[in-house]
Amino acid sequence: MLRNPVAITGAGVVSPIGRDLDACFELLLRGESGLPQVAAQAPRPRSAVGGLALDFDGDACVGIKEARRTARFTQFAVQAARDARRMAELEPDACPAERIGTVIGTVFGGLDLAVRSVEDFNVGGTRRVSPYALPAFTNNMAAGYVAIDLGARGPSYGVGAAWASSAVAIARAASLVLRGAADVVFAGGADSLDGASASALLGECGEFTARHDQPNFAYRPFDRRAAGAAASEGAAILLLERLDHAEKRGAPVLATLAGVGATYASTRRSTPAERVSASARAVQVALESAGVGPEAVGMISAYGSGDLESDALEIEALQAVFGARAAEIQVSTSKPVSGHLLGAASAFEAAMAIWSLRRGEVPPISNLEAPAVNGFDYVRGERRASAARYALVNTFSANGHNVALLFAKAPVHS
Amino acid sequence: MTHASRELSTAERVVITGIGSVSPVGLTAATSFEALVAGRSGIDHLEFELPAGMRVRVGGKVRLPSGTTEGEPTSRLARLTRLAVRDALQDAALTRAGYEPERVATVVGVSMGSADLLPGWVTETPLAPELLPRRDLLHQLLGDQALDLVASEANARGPALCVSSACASSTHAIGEALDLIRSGVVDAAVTGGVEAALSPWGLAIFERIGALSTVDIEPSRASRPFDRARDGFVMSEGATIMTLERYSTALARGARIYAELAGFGCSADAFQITRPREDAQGMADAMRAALSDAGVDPSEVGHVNAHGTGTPYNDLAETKAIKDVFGGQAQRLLVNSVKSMVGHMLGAAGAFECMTTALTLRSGIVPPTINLDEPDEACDLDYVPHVARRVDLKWAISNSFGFGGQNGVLVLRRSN
Repeated sequence: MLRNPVAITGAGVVSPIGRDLDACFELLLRGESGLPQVAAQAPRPRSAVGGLALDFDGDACVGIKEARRTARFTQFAVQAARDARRMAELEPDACPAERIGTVIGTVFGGLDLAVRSVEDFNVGGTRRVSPYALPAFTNNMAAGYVAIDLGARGPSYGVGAAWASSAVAIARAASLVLRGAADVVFAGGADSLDGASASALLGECGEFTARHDQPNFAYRPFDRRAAGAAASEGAAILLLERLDHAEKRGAPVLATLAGVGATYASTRRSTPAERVSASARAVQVALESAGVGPEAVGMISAYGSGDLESDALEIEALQAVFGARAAEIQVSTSKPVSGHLLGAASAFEAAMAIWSLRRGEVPPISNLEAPAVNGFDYVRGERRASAARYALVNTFSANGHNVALLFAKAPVHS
Repeated sequence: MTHASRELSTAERVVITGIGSVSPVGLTAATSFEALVAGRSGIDHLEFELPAGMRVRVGGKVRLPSGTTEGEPTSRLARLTRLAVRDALQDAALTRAGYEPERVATVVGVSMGSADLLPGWVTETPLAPELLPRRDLLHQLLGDQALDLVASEANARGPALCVSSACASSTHAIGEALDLIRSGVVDAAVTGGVEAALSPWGLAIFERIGALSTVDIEPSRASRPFDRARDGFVMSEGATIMTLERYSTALARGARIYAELAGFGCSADAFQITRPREDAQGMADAMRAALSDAGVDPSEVGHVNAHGTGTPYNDLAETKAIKDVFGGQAQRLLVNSVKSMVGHMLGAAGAFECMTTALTLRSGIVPPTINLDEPDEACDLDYVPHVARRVDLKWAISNSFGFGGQNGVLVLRRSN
């Protein structure tokens, strides 16, 4: 049925709950938040930091010299891409360098380096400005530097679509693979919360209002007591290639990306009804592009902004697509455990949804006690067995970006 | 998921049907192109007081009409963006074309995004709690505001994304928009690039890496691509937005067709952040990929709108790459750099140059490379020095190469 599915053959993450995907998934299954011990070390006034990737050592990743010349989001991306490559068993001679692409989304990029550069300039003019600031802070640099690190000479660019950035990057990467512009593409997102700027901005933007002094239970998606998201930092990179390419080189196939749908409904200029309709449309397009109906979907990794109104709108949009079947679909989200990974969020959740498909288990939504809106089978308390063949990863970003990624269980023969 | 086959039918060919552009040489696409053909420079002295120690003297500023209109956005990036997108939409009469909003994509290239706001934010609000940023600042800082403006003005509700590849950002953006139409995801796209980074700090960070021209001469003579005396690029600002539609739809609704957007190719140097590969293979790969995507033989291409920044490294490597790709045909090509007149609009440069290439094909007039008084010995192509050239062209390419080694090339075909 799927003439040319895209295989996911590798994944790598840097997150407040670690780099080991099996361990991250175990934590999710246990429903434990990885955030509390982190927040205790990083409280900032009026900020909304939920979790930092404190275990990540940029010096060890890129070397002390290069660590001074690269922004932290870039270092996260380099590590995640290396881990994805290792998992995918992509040996250096497996694919010509010109056929390897890098598409990486970010929201803040190297904002902290840019801010420090402005401060240096204000103090001492041009001569005080570091020559390493500019080539490090722009949003394209995660993709550019990962390309250098991997020796990847195919298509390479950065993507920005607010909190949907990594979902859009994965969607564009799938298209690069399908149109033959590349054989394999490293795609995902990276964002860091170093310095005060990013967290200060997040603290003011209205979404990240979960109390940072108690993130272990403050971020409560879909719960009646939802009170905003807790931001965290990290990177999540998937390796995409055509299924036949993956099979030919004997690569492990974790799952396939069966369908993609994306729409935009500016939150500033759209009514709630328009936002719902646009989000539903993205999911419908993803199903259509996969050539399957709503009945195929067994689980949904929902966005779960942790805002009562946004969560209700997301559920309304999903109900518009799944109708009476909604009650049979298991809904989960990893956000309360990992925090909202900003420009890496959707790719991180995609990795976790893929792990659900592989393991046949869906983790509970941590902190969900009393759903604010009924309709779906929210997984609560305990992990649940799942026979899902398709998992929908939904992004319903407060900035108006709606992206639906539909992943399918890996074909049995691979 | 399935994709369109590589053999393009009429329905899959994509054309440019509307253009809006504000640049240092004009406030519309037509007046900008006229200025380019006349060889007029938009580079001038910087109007702000130069901070101590700064050597840069010149820049390319958009000369906006004085005063503001009601409801006008406050950030310069948003002002430029709104002018360009409104012109493009009116030019194409896109709102009358009857596209379903969910089938129209928005893809905007931007590199420095927040550069016009960041210094003010950092300087005025030194992280004192009561001065912390307003709720809207996050939106403004991230290029997201420009994207939102373009999508909202066009009532576009299809996929929307910003693309960044430094100085190639808007070329990659247009390439992605092309793909979204070709692959059947949308029927039309509003795409291009925007940049407004001409602040003292914005200049300082580029001067500090040695990218900018600092020679103290008449402003119009500072940008000297391919010239022996070139010493860096001249930074400028601008916004160029265009509408893309399927050829068949544009024909059926009687839209004006500027040119066909026939192909896109991209690559990475995977070499160094601020310097191209010495063998120029990244640039050459992108050109080859674009030509192959368009299904055109290099021998059919008559014109290269060069990246041509005027930095020593770029112009040498780009010349080498063109010779590598076009071989014996390279000497026959008309290669120009409009950056000699408008400077380097960074993330907005590729869209401006794509627009220029479309109007070149349509008019049969290749704007000159000005200030090319004494070509570098290693820059030995026909760069159309000083004076515009009238010529019969069918195919042209537009090159963009970004810091970080991200290369993008568009192929355009004259539309009859």
